[in-house]
Amino acid sequence: MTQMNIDQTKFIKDLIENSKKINSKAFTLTRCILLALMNFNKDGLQFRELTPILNISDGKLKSNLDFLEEVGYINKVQIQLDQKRLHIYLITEEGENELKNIINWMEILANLEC
Amino acid sequence: MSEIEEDFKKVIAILKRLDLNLEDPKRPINFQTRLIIQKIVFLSKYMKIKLNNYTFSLYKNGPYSPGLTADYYQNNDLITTLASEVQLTPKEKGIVDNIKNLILNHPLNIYHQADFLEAISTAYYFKYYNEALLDDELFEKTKAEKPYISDKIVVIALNTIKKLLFKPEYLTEDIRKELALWDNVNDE
Repeated sequence: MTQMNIDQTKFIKDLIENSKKINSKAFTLTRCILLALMNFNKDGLQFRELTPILNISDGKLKSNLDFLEEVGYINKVQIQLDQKRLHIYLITEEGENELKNIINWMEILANLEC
Repeated sequence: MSEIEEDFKKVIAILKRLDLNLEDPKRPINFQTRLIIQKIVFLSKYMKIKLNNYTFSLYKNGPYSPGLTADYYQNNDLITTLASEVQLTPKEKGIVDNIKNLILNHPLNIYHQADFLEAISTAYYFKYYNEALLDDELFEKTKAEKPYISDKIVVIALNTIKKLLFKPEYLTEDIRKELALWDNVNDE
């Protein structure tokens, strides 16, 4: 087998094998952005902050956050801010691992010549 | 001792001078403590207290430094005890006292502390990078970034920024004379 064939075979194998490590339900644009934002801002993000960032409806945002909470990638915590009861969302260790898997897979994909 | 530790000790000295009573920032529920630290340290740095290790970015969620978060998560006990042997210079003390007098002693700080700090730090960031911004442009930009903060709080925040940015040399002899005229109107 030539060197090029070996590289191509390895690329396809990595692409397929590493894709299996990703939770396909978490791999949507909105959910990836939410995980990335919470990974960047470890202090936690408020629901009211996320709406203008993502420019989506409250209902759509809530269903995406509920999903990420259900699978254990984020935690929803009730806080008191200026005498108001609000919720913040924080990434969990599982969420960080899922984000790493997504990034690893995208790095493999980045080798593809278009 | 690494530079990061030096900077964090200075952060503790700033918070101590402000006489803040802060909760453990590591507990998820203590979001307000984390917000106060982020905004106070941002303002201190942008008002020229040397804190090189903390880089603040602004994108939709106000000025925020992940490096600062990492430091107070790692040294959370220092936030609750505020134990620091670092001495602030007279100039640094002046900056911190200005923050205390104009922001923390403002009546809005009692019931609207988070929104007030968010509005001030966000608008300050915009003004810092674009001094030419007019008041109404600054208002629009801050509201676009923080739509959930009331107009009233944003307007008061913008007025507070003017006071924070005021330098004695702005008060020229001509302006002083004109102000004196107005001040003495009732005496005549």
